[in-house]
Amino acid sequence: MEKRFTLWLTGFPGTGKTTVIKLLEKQLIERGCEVKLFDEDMIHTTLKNPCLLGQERRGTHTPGDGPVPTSRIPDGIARIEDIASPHRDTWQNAERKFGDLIKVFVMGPSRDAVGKMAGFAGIAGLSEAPDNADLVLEADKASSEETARKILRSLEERGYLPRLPVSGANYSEEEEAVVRKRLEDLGYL
Amino acid sequence: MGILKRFRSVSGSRIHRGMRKLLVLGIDGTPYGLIQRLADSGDMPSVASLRKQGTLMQMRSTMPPISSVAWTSFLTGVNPGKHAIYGFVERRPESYDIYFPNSHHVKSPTVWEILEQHGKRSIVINVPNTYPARQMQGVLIAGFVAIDLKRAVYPPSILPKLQEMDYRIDVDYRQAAEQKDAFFTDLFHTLERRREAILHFLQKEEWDLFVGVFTESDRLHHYFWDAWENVYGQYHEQFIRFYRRLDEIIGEILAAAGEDVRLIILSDHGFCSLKAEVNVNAWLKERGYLRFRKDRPESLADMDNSSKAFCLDPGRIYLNVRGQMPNGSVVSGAESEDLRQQLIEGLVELTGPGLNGESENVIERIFRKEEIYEGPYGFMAPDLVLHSRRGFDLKGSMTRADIVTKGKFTGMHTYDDAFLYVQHGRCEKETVEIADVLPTILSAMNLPIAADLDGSLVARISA
Repeated sequence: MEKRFTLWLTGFPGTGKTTVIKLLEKQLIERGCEVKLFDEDMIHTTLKNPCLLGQERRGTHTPGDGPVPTSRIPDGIARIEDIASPHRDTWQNAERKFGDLIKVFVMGPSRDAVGKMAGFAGIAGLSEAPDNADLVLEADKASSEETARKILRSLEERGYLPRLPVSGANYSEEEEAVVRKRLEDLGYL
Repeated sequence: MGILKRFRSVSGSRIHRGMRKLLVLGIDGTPYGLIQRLADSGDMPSVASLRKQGTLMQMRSTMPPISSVAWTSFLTGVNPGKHAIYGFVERRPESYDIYFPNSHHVKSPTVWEILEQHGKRSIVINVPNTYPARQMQGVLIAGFVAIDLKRAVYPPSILPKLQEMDYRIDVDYRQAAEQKDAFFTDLFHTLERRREAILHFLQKEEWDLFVGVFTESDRLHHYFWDAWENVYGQYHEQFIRFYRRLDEIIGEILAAAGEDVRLIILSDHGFCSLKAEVNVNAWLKERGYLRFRKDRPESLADMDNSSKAFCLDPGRIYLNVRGQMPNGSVVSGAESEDLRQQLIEGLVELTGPGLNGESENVIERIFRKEEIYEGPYGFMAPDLVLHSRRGFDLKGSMTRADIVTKGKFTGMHTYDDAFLYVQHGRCEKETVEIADVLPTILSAMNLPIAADLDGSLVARISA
């Protein structure tokens, strides 16, 4: 892996963040990364609090302040977090702490759907992407696989993941000579 | 979240996965006529048995019937005007230099990309023109012209396993004409390595669609088609032995895949005996349409600016039109149309050596690009595409001076004699083309068929 990073996914509950994260974890491992996973369920377990976290409480569990996740991350580890906390200062705190934070907001249902759940703590700020998000994905318009792939491509573009050794459309001169010979030997040139 | 998570895992694709798994096996360059005969003769008992469970039919390839074009139409369900692969070589824009198209140049979504949108996982092994391997949902081992196994695989984590099994991208055919026994040894070795890789990923990986292609057959046919036709020839038995072993492997793969899996088998083009190679650029040169700045040209880059037309392999003729080519000499419009007509009239008269020393017409039909290509990449299409009669293999060589030559090959590709087998399906079309396979795959997997595909459903596969 090029360098360590923290990937923070937030968004409306039920948008498929957990599924996307499972896919990301698998593909990052396949590409040679060591991955640490932190999701909201783990935080719930830690806190012994099964209900949705309210804004105030969420704010107390930022990487900078709370016990989970830990701030000590060795080089070469990708950390993925799945927390429905879109608050600007939460991300700012995390950014100050880690620097290499990629903030992903997973758009989910319509404003109407958000409105129906308005009474639940922590839901209010989730209908629109925070303006400091690095990547905004519309999960309801794409499969989990597509969403995961977009995140991986973004990581490549930002230099956190090595591009696959296939990024160029053209062959080098040496490769072209090999291809030419193969084609000649089958009578194509 | 916990409840939602559980709900998703039950209501997602997994619950139906067993019902909708589809196995697609490809046998590169195997004609319908050949597989029928070997099934009839008892040399391919697995195929003979499968015939009773479905439909084995003749299928048209692409124009031209070249593996990179045909397999790309299989993968995308569209014509070259949409997927942008017209051959193994292509001219660079604003230049007369050529390049070799690869997976990056395919402009339409492939079957695994379409499946990915529906949360399905694919395993794709040895399909031509999938190199370099690109990120996908599943496993991909690229086929011809893959030159480096490291760049031929996705995800990279499968590389050690392939190296451990001594996986082979291709048969070593470089000396096939001179060292025939060594070629057969390598042919069978490569076939076994392919078998091992297919069985490994079939059994060890989770998949919804599995595509495995055997390209060894095409290499065998290029060099040893005469061994198939001449039953008394030295290598006839070896040729038949190859297909017997391939049939055993098909049986093994089916057994490993299990009864719930549905099956499609296809080839990408047919094959026939080669009488002569016909060098189209030599004909264009003789008629004054093509001129070179050198006595012994090495490539298209040596073409003189006054040239009117040139040919890229196998029979793709491009007019040197001003505004479309860097040094065009033909004015677009009436002049270019006249030139096309002149070329058509001249080429239909072209003859080559036939049976009993008599000459035969080389060309079966000439297509104008607008007759066979449609789509956003139609602008890359050759102005004319030559479809030769059986036995005359069209070539785009810039270096050959003689119009008719005979080389080391004994077989050549054909357009109308590929095959398609659909298990538990009855053919619903009069004429079947390779672009029809993708819609048939999507239907078998209960997935929607996009309206912009060129192919259409061949057969509904019953559950």
